[in-house]
Amino acid sequence: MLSRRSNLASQVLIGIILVAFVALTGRLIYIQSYEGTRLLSRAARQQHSVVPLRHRRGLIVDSNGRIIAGTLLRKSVFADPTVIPEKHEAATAVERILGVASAEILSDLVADDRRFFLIRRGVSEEQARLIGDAGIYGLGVFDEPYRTYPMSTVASALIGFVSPDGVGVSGIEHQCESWLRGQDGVKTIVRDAGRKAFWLAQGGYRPPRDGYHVVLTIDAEIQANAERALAECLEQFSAESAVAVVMHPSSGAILAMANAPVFDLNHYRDAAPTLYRNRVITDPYEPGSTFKPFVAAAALTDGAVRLGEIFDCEQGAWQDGARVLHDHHPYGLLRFDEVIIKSSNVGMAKLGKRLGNRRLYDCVRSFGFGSPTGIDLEGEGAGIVQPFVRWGPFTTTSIPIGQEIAVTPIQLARAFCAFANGGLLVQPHVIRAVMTSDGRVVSDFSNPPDEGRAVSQEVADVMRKDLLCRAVEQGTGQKSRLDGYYVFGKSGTAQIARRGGGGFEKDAYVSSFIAGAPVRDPQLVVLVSVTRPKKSLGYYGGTVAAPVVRQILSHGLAYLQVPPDRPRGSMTAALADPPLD
Amino acid sequence: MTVPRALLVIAMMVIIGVAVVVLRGESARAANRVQHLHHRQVVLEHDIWSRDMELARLRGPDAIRRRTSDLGLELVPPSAESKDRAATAPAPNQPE
Repeated sequence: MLSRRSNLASQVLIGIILVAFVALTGRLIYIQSYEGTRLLSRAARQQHSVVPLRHRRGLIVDSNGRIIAGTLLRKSVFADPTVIPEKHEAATAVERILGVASAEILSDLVADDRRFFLIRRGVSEEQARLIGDAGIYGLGVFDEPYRTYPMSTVASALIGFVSPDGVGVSGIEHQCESWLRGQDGVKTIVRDAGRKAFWLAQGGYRPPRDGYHVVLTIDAEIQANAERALAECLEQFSAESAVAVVMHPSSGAILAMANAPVFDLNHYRDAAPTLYRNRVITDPYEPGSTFKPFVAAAALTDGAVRLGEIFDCEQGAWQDGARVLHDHHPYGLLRFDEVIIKSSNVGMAKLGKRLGNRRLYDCVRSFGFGSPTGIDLEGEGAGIVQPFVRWGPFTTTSIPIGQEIAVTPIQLARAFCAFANGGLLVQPHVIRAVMTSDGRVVSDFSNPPDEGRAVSQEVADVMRKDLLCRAVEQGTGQKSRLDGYYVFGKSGTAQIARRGGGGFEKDAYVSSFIAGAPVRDPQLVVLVSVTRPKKSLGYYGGTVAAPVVRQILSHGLAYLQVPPDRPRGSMTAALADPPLD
Repeated sequence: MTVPRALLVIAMMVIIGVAVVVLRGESARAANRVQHLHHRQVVLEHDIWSRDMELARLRGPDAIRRRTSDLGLELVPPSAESKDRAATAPAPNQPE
């Protein structure tokens, strides 16, 4: 009896469990089939939140790995006007914490129907904390990357800057945008009932990809020194602007590319937009006497002249057709080398007549003038070389003295490097390599091929050792002489042509000096051009620009530990009355 | 099926259920730890960014110039004796 009752009870119990199980299964099937999608999306909305993972825009570093441009995070305050319940309260809180007028915020909050409204970028940690503590739904703080330049003004025109949204706008920042830009990651977090981050959702993590680093050939120390020297020169001669280029003559690597005045990259909006332009590659100017060595080299190459040949420099005034050419100092008979050393216009004009237009044109082109150098920077100018069909009789005597032609500083520096490296036309470059954030080299640009030969090794050596070195030791470049090194160089003083033609501006000059050192094994070539120095303070290239070149060379050679090629203390006193350009 | 068998089945189901709950709890704890560590990693990375920038400021030419000036140090040009040493050094901007 007991057994039968027990059996019955167990069957009832099992039946109840089965019924409950069937009911439960049925309910689950119902929820899964009919309610599942809706409930899942509702749960996802409540539990999941997507958090962006900020990538790091690539660094821009100098040749020694010093960071010139980097990225940091800052706190920014935003609002979602569509969900803020008490807009007045929110506006008052923002005014109290950030100091923004509540009326201004309120009008934006009421009028704006976007889900995201940026109130202020770059608030302090304390302000960010107070915004969080205010606990106003729809008002929040987020981390926003921003570009920062730890060296502030160093190479400002070259480096360029980014927009507030982090996109390169000018300079290297713009040009290398595709390398520097990375990609934000994302993580999906599952939150608990208190909105506290609980765990990462399954498959809800995509890591950010940092941008590639761009390594420049620029050396920040040489660059900063060049900028300092230019700034002092601007002040001393009340000049309008100045540029300097420092190149390694054999590789074409640019060690410094300085524009003055500079501007602070961290506050670029405060600077005049004209300062953003990298004038080293964009602005052509008449090179004046700094062009003479190229014509002299062409004449030597052609055998059109010998070093010891005598030129009658006509006591400083020579009539060639309707035109009278002048020297700054009256010279009578000068040897060819003295024509360069003393920078005689008359002597060079006569040399031009001897060469003729066709050969002069070939000379200009063989040194790369009239075409962009192909430097790895955007916006490079080609300079101005008239088509050969427009070369007239005046051109024959103008080109040898650096008139009727305009060159950019980078063209001039590149061409001058040929005298320092045995006659080769190098490819100037600023970008050395591109690397991943963990140091793997993506692209190596450190050894671009040469662009061919401008002059022979012999002519380059003669130019450097016999003419240009003596131009510094005895001629117009004495203010660039260095203790411990023989310097070779040439000065130039050019009048600034009127816009639209019609002669030259009164008392407006570009004073330049280009030089290299040491003569025996040149390691540096430096060009300095100073625009519109005040005439009463000095305007000759040998007076204005040569001391700047000296300062840059002296510092650069010592910094790079280039061995001296001249006994220290062996420099004789400068001539009492050095020749002028 | 007898009552003991039924109880055994129920007990086993309870044990399995408890085991599932315990495992789920452990899994949640681990996931929470991963999330926490991940957050910490991001914070540390950002800390590295700011330290990189601070280092860059200190390594900047102006900062170094100020310090050398304070310490009375000057850039010493190479002597003739340094020639041999320098001759074996790589040219500027050439990879070592």
